[in-house]
Amino acid sequence: MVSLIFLMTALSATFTTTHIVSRYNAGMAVILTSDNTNFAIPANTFFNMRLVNLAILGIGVAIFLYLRKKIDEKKESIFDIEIVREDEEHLGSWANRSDSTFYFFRLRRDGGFSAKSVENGSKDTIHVSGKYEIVASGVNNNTAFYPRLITMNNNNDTVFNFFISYITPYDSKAEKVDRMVLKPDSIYDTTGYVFYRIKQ
Amino acid sequence: MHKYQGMKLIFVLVICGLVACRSSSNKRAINLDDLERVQAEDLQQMPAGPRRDALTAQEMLALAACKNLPCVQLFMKDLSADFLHAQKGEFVALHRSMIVDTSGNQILIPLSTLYVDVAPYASWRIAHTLHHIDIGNHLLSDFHQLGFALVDSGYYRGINRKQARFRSPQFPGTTLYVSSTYSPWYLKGLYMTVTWPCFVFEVYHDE
Repeated sequence: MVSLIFLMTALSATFTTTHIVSRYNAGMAVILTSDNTNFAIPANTFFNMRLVNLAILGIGVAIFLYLRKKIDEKKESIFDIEIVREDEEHLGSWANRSDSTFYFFRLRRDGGFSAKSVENGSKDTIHVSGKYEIVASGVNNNTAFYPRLITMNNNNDTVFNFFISYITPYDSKAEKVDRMVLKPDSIYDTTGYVFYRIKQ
Repeated sequence: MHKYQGMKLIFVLVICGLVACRSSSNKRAINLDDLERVQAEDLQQMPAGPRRDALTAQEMLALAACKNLPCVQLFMKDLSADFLHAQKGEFVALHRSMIVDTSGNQILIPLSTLYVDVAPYASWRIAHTLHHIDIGNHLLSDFHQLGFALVDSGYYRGINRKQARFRSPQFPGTTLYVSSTYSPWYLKGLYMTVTWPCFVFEVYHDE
């Protein structure tokens, strides 16, 4: 979002090289241009200019978002990764190593799920692939419950069905590492499994 | 001057575009090799949470020596990582857990409380109330290991409830009373309406 504001500022600087002298005389607005000449235009025209500038800014932002989406899609298809944006922080690769097991899974944009796990002391790696769903919290988005992450293998058997207790927000400045906390229940201070975002 | 202005603008736009195209979440991803290190750092930074739900038998024996509330408060202050002084004379385990009451409702509560009453007319002195049978059995086995054996059961100390009485040769003059009840105390304590079985442990020195 901050970078978007940077871009908007830059765009608005491009299209508003004029500065307004706060004076309105008989329906005229006085405009001071960047080369220090000033002229008066009808106030209506002035407000129309502001609307035009706003519209140009909006179009600029829309073009930027569209281009960003297209670039993301291209990068994702070339490098086989997930580019994470706002409200899709669950995407990507996650891993956790406990005393007993190493568990790694990936949530793809197209709903695909893949996981691998290794039990400590064992050389066998168990691979699972299938699909996943994020189920919203209750019928009426009841805030007493967290959303669920349900993963299924190719036979539609559930691999795990956990509540998403926490995901590091996209624009977080406080955290240096992305975390996702999965819990078997939705109760506040009970045990959860912390997964960390892994570079792809 | 003017001919460079367009270049500057394009440069600023490109920089802004690059900054805006960067994904903050992807930037915070870690290498798989660093996973153990990051997890270890997280564990170190995590505040130490409560580690238990109830007092031990040794602690209850030590508490039995207390004759007034400040003595109990001083003792419990050392256990403040696990117990909270909720009200005057009422301590509660910091860790909460799920219990099922007689109607099948799941209730999230602390699994133990410690109630101290120094009023001369009080029926309780120091009562450690456990809200789950497993915790109660664990504490009872703790007392068994200290040599406490069942002597008899009956109505003691003017309480309208049957209590099992335990004594140990290792602790002469010390008596343990254990009872199960739905009314740990009357109109006092943390819970006015109790719908789950409570297991009350009391330790007293003979006077």
